[in-house]
Amino acid sequence: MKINIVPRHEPVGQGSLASPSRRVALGALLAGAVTAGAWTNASAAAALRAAGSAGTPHPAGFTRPDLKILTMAADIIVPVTDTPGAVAAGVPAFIDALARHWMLPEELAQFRAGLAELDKSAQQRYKRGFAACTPAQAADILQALRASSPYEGRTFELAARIEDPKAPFYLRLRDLVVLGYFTSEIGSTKELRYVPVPGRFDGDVDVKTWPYQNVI
Amino acid sequence: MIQTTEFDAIVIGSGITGGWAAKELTEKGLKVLMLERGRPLEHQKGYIHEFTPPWQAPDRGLPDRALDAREYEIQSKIERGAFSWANRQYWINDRQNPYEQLKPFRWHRTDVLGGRSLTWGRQSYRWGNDDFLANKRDGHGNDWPIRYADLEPWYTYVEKFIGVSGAPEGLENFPDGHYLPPFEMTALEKHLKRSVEAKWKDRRVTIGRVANLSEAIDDERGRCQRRAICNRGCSFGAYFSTLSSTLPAAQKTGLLTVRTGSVVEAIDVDPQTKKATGVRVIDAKSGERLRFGAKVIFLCASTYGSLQVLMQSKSAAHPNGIGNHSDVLGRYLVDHAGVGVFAEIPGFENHNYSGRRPTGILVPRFRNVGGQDADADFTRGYGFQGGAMRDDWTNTAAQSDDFGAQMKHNIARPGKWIAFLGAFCEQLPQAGNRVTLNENKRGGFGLPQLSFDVAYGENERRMKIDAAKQAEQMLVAAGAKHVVTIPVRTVPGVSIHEMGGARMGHDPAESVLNAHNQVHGVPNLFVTDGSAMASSGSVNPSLTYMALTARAADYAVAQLKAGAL
Repeated sequence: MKINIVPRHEPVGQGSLASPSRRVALGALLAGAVTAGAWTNASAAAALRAAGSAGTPHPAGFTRPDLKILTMAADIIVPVTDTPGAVAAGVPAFIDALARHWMLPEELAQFRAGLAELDKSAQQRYKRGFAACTPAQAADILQALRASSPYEGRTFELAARIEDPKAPFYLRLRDLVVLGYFTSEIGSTKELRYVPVPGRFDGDVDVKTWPYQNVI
Repeated sequence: MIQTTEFDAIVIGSGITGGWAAKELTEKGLKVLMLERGRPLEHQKGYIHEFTPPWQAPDRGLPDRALDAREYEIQSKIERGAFSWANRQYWINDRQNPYEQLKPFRWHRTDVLGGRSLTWGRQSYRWGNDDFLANKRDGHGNDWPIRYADLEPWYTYVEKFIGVSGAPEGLENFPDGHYLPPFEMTALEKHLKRSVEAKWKDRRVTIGRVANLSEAIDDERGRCQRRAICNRGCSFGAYFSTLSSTLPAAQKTGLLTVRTGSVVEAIDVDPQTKKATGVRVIDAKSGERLRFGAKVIFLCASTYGSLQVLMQSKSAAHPNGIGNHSDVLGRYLVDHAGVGVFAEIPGFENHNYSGRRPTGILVPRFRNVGGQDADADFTRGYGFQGGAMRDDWTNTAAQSDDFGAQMKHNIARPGKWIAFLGAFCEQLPQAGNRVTLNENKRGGFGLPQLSFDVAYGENERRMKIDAAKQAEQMLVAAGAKHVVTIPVRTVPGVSIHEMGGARMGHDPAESVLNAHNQVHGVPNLFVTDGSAMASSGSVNPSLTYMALTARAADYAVAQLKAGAL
């Protein structure tokens, strides 16, 4: 079996278009590059609409207002770039599912309190809910939260930090969005190169010919 | 108790050694019953998560903490990711199968047909002649009743069948075998090799010798696809497991009967003939007690599993269990202590690799070789296994806390180059490191619990300090600026290189088995798994178990045909 040949990855506007599939992807994202902000917001808005009206509690997961905050945060943490972002990859639903059956009660409580805190910060700074902020405003709020979220732990693998009871809300939010994205089908195939059956191993290749990780 | 069909031979266990015993005995014409305590598992069809992509993994691969804490408290702690959502179903349920830890001890075991041959690390090394001489030379442990020359043809025999990828090195005490083409080193591994071998003439960095088919060797098993998800099970049959290799060979003879869900309680011995007559079994599903008779018994239930069966086999002639007349059974347990050292090494950012390699690199033992080193405050030695690869997104993401477009781009790219060396330190055989039966505590199927009293000693402690120092010097020689030492495999059992307890030896007063793995005084009972080992060496032991098993099976059949059993 031959290795899956994936074309060179180049930033938008610099590279040659090496294959039909890449051309399709680049076509979409070149269009997106012009209107990236609008695309992001439209995507987020659609997701927010899907989350339904405010105030309806989820059985054991997040309330719908919480989901809106989470969706906005996910969109800022892993935004649309030359590839789709966390919202398109279904990350809010993934984290909501974790809240329902995976998070420990104290983790869920921390997460809910953290989302509420994001909303409160947005009200204080911008007189609107976090979900209603512009991407720039939401990024400012997340940046401030990041700066005020010390973490002394040291881990070498993301899942270990996600499980660390000492991880502050900011890290837990950021890490779960990152994990959700890079394990999604979109993250695995558009941002990473998921190669289930490589067929061969080449120990020393020029990073320009294969600028990807080899994860499964 | 139901008396059932007689067999020529019974093989207890279906892991690496049980599979080999079944293959050899059936191919030599014996009618064999293989007993496995765990569930059935079918090659290919049974590997339910082999092709599951990350986005379909339960909770995207996050551990099921509630389930693991409740049912897999021990197994879920396996290091190096060998326990995961993709293969949890192969491992034993700890809640239903408790054991006693007088000191912290991990017993990692599976509960399916094929045993740990499904999940093993596949590293396949011959022991050197010095490994078999070590006990005699320094007086720790008893003298091995065999030497490298006794096993050499059997190493060749098993390597040719299982298929081992590796590179010959021409070292005296790290013997070369029969190898398929080696996997390639990464750019940094090649650099580490050059740096280390230039600075130290007695050190070698070689590619891990691994039971993966870098090239196909027959029509039955496919070539390795470089997926490196071996411990999920491999439908290509590209790494050695019972299910892909020895079981089909045994089944091809038409002489093999496999019975899963068969928990062996004891082996019966006739006090007049002094021979084993059969095996008592508890049916795991029905609880029914059964008995199977045979002329020869191969006990291959894994180190502690076999010791448990021997200890439970009490009779007037064997009041403390079979092979325990001199209180050696269960003693002299050994494993490999460990320490890990890693460093970021810059300068290779333009290099990458593609595909996934199912092995790492190895630095064969260089300490106290051919005599005691003047600067070594410990006896015997250690080897290193490791590798030099680039961080992936799970590593890079865990070392940063940023967000946004740049973060998304950065962590998807090949990360920092990290070189890692993990020591495997030989543990000295000590009588006090032992396992016993606790008749007052009942475990799975109402059988007594095993009780572990095992600890690493001062020699292992000193060896680890030296290993960390030497590893640091090698990484610095390769350009590391900042080296980090981390504890690995600190709790006995974690290396899953469990050995000893029914050690081989010349003298029945100080050993359980003779030079052909026969129980002293019970000539038709052979024990060929890790429990037979009289010392731990400094490389992975499975290939040696295979060679011992094939050799013992050859001897057993010859003896049987000669009417001696």
